[in-house]
Amino acid sequence: MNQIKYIILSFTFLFLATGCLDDYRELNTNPELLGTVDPRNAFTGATENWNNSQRHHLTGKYSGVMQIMQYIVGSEGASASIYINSKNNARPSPYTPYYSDYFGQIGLRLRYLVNTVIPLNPEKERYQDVAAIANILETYEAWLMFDAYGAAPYTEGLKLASEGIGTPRYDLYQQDINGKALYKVFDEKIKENVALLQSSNENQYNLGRNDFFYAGNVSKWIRFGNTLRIKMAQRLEKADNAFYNSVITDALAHPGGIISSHDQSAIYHHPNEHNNNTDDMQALTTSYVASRALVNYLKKYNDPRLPILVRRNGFGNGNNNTENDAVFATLKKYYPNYDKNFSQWTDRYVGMAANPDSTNSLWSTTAYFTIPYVDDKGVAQTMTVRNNSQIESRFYVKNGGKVSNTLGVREKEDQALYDVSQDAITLFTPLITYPEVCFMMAEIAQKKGSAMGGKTALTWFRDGIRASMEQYQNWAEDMGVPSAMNENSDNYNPITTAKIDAYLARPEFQSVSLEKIISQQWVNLFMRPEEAWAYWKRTGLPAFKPQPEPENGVAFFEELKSGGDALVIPRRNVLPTPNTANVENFNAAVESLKADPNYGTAVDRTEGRIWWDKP
Amino acid sequence: MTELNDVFTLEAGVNYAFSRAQNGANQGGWNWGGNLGMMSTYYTPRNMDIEAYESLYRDPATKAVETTTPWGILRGYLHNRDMNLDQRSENSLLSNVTLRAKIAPKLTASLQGNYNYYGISTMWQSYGQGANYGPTGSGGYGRGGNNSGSYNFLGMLQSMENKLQLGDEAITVDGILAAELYGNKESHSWNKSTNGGLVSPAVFAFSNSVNRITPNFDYTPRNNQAFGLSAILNFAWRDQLFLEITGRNDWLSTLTYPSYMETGMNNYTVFYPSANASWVFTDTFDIPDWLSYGKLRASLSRVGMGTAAYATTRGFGVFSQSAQYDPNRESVLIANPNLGTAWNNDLKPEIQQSIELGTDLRFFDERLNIDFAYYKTNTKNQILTVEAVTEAGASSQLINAGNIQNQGVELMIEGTPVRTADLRWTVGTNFSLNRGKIIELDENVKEWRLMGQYDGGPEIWAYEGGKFGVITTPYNNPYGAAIARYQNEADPADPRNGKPLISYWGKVGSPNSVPIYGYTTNYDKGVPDRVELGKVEPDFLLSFNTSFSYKNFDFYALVDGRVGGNFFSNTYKYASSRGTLKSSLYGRDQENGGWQRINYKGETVYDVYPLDGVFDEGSTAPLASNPNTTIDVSGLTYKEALEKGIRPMPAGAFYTYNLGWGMPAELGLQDNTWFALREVTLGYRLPESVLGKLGVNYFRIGLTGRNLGYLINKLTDGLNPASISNNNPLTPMDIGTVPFARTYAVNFTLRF
Repeated sequence: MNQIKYIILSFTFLFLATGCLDDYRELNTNPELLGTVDPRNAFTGATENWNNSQRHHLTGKYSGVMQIMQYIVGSEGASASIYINSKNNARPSPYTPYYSDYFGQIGLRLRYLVNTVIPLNPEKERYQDVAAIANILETYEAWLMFDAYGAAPYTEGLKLASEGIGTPRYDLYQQDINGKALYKVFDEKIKENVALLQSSNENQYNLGRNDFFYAGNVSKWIRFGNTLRIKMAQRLEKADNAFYNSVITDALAHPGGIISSHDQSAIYHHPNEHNNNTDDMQALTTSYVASRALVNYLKKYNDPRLPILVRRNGFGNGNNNTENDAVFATLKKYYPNYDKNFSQWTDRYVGMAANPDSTNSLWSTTAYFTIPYVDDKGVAQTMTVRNNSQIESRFYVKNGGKVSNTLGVREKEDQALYDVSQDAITLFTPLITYPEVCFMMAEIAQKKGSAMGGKTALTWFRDGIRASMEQYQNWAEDMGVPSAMNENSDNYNPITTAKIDAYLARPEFQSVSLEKIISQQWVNLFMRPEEAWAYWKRTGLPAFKPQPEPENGVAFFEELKSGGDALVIPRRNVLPTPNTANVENFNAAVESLKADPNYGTAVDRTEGRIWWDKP
Repeated sequence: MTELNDVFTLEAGVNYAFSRAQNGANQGGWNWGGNLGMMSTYYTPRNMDIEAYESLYRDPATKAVETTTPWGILRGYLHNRDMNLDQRSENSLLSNVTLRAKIAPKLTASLQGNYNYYGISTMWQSYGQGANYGPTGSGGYGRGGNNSGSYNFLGMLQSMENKLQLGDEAITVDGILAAELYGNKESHSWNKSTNGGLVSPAVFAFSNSVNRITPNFDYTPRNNQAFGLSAILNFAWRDQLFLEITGRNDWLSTLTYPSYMETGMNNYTVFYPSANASWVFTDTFDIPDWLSYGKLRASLSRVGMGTAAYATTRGFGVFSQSAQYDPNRESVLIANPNLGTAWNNDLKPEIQQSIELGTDLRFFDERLNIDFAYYKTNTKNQILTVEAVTEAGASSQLINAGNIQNQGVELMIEGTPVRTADLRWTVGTNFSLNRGKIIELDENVKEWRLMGQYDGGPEIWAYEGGKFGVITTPYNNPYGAAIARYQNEADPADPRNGKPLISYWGKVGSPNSVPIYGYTTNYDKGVPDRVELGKVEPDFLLSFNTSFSYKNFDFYALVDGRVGGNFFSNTYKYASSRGTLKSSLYGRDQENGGWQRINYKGETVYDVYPLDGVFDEGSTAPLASNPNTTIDVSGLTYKEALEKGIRPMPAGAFYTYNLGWGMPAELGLQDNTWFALREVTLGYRLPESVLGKLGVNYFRIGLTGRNLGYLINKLTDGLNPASISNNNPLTPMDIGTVPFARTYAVNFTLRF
């Protein structure tokens, strides 16, 4: 009897267990993951730390585009390894984040927002503005990717979950898989979403503080969209001139207008606590110096941006650093004629040569110059004095970094006196700024030979110079650059309206030419060096000279040679090889790319050109 | 165990373990400046008198760490070693209660409950490097911890010693029915640290924090449970032949899908049977006495397993949301979807099937014992994360992978040459050999990356149809690439075949330069594919043990080790380029094989590195007599080119430019073969005469030494095989070395 009782008990146990599926489903559900969220919060997450989320975004920028566009040079001398030497096989290319950021974050999450999160939201008609802004940013990032890589799976990409496409085919910049020019698809998409924003009403939810670009201001997004159309069209100046002209006319005619003032500049403002740990990023302070091409151009015309963008070297007093001042005092003591012995460095702003062949000179292989002397006790000593100026790294790194085992006390201003609380600084990543737009319009007007967007080329040019100086002063104040905002700084030299007026009164800037416009645009794009690279590819400016001495308001790059061999700046990135499952489509894409003879004979021939980059 | 009454008995037990560890040796890895191995081989020169520096790196009066010398990293390491504290305490409490009931003469039931509690508590203290351990704003203090637990209930109904009559023979049958429920408890973790340093130096209190402290707390709910029902039948015939058959069905919570995932397949139940038989054939047949005992065994068993909690949610697109500071330091909500891994709606349980055949033979009245086993284990539907097509929307995917196999043998031999009343001496050896292989991975995935490139070194992969764990170069990457080799297609007997290709890289040094010749890699030649460099798995494992007892003394010693397999040393990668290792003496002077050259002072020296390489097609090299002219050296060996008069490369330049970060990975690959004297134990048992007076049944004192040294160590330059960076056997790599360490222990055992 007892045995039967126990057998029955065991069976009931069994049934209890199988009824447990619902309990187990609940047990295996992570309560912290939310099935639905406000689409605005998802927008902030999708655009988080736009193109500047990880250390390598910045360190790659320093070693890549900032060096090849001759803003900075490695502090141990210009390296030939970032350029292409036809005598060897290496094909470097500068780091750009667009491909991995599009498929890993921006494209992935913005498409998810627009295609899944908003449609499933019960109030989806009220989130159409959010969807339009998301679409504009997604298209912008996709365009940046195609601009540098030439091909990517755009039409069939990111559709594994929604349509089951596990091996997407690649589109080309000049032709997508449906046979249409992809740059036209991008332009239409921006135009469509701008129209949607233009017809917005009060019923639409506003992004507000969830928008780290424009704080939800829809009219500024419209201006960004119109400006972006012009910028994208400008790339096709040579490859599809008809498209270029039609888009510019259409975009300028839009009632929403283009970016016309500083507060309309498209800039991503990072979360306040982003990159508080400056570890690797402070390499800009320690491992790089300003380049001769940049410093020469700023010095020659008494540019008020010089003390804001470049730091003085150690061959003089007033270093904002007690240790460096002490070293200078030693120099003055033992070399009373220092201004004659070291005259090449005593005007304090000195850039290092970007030409790798310059490294056979001691001046161009180190940031600090070693000077021997015999001290009062008769002992032979040496002192090191900084001869090559640093670039002002506070624009990219909070306080230029922290004194630690990788950043010595002599590398930046005295921390106790010149550092600003990290909580008070917010980093920013510019997308398209107002002075950049002025120079873009100046070039368009100059080539048209008549006024465009209501101003002549000369007016755009001069407005751009003024705007660029105001912009850098504002940015420098926000980022705590001592020469811009600290009156106790030894080099307090803020950009004032008087200084801007004086610069614009100079004879070189009373007339305009393409070279002058691009020279000013080049300086202005210090915080957007990838765009400077695109400008150089499209216009060939700044041009090269053996010594980068400016002439008549025009800047020049220094010629690049290694062992006498001419070096070439890479013109594109290498299309990344995907997972082996999609290698067939990748190979087909490479064959299509090679059909354009300018692309190069192989995917890694980075001296080749993307389709828009016509010679 | 106590008997409550005629039917019920109760057993209860508690185990408590406590340990505290301080300042564990740093294994390197993003903290190179905290690693002792790197300190002595990379950050300081070989002739640095570290002991002398230790006595003067700190000011005796103010205790400040000096800052005038260039030894910044060394003094940072010393300061950390001498002053800072990093402490971790672990508590483990295992409790169990068992209730047994004799229901009927041949039927017993029992219910057992286990509960385990595991708690970790951490503390760190850090001192400033300035005067009197200041200044204000340096140093820090923190505490943290974590607790977790698990439980297990097992109910059994047993009927033992039933007799089944089959003709003349009696078969003993045991039957067991069991139900098991087990899972985890909720877990909490927390930490609290000072922010912005300490106000008063070396006062370790949270009230001494410069800035406001924000403690962290995290909670993980109960998220894993499994229920299993099993039936076991044991048959025994004459105590010679045994057969056990089991069947078990598990219901696993980790394979269920949250209810809002309507297309989830919920394959959460798995049935797995097993059968094993053993036969003591010496009892069945008339075997001569010298084979005192012989048993054959065979088993076929399956085990079903689940996976980690919440795995079924990966890639579905649900959001994790948190409040962060916006650019104006106001709070805003940011939500991110968990995309990135392709969602798998059809996860199935893993099934591991093992076949084992073995024999246990004892000879000469158990003076010689041999135990041999062969096994083949196939894990099917293993749940793993492999790479996917990022452009399609997910960079990785969770799959049930086809069939991963481990096959091998284990052999144990033990002999007792001497056995008398007082003296006994036993010698034994253990040999095991395992071969892992991927029979099948997935229809779309043919390769699985076990470890990505770390710090410019190699990668570790597993391929379908290949070995499990091969060390390879990365794909199309100049760092860690394979050395390109000379190959004369026309003449397979060409003595140059297989030699590394080299080329002239340029000159360094000023005003008196030296030439650099370096290895050409596959990447330089435009060959992107991964090259297999070595393997992870050992050829076999072997150990030897001996024990010796005389009256009340006992002695035991164990040597164990492995042969074969490779190990990649990142420490060797860095140190070799600095010239601080014994192996980097090669080529530096005449007695170390260096060739002759005339240096810039006109002296004859013998420091040319004897590079064994062949110049690549189209290579030119400068002449020693006139460095501005170059000659064509294509196809010449380095030696031949030196004879033709090219500038020779001194050893120091070779090491600096050819080794170090990003060097070809094969140069840092080590042979992971070693034998260690693992343990030596000496014990003494108190005689019964003394024990009786103390009222104790058994009392033994033991002295043990562990990890006493390496008898054979094929790793070069004194590298320590125990300095692998983590427990994962599939990533045999060091990131910094740890010193060799021995442990000594005293052990008392008492039984009342």
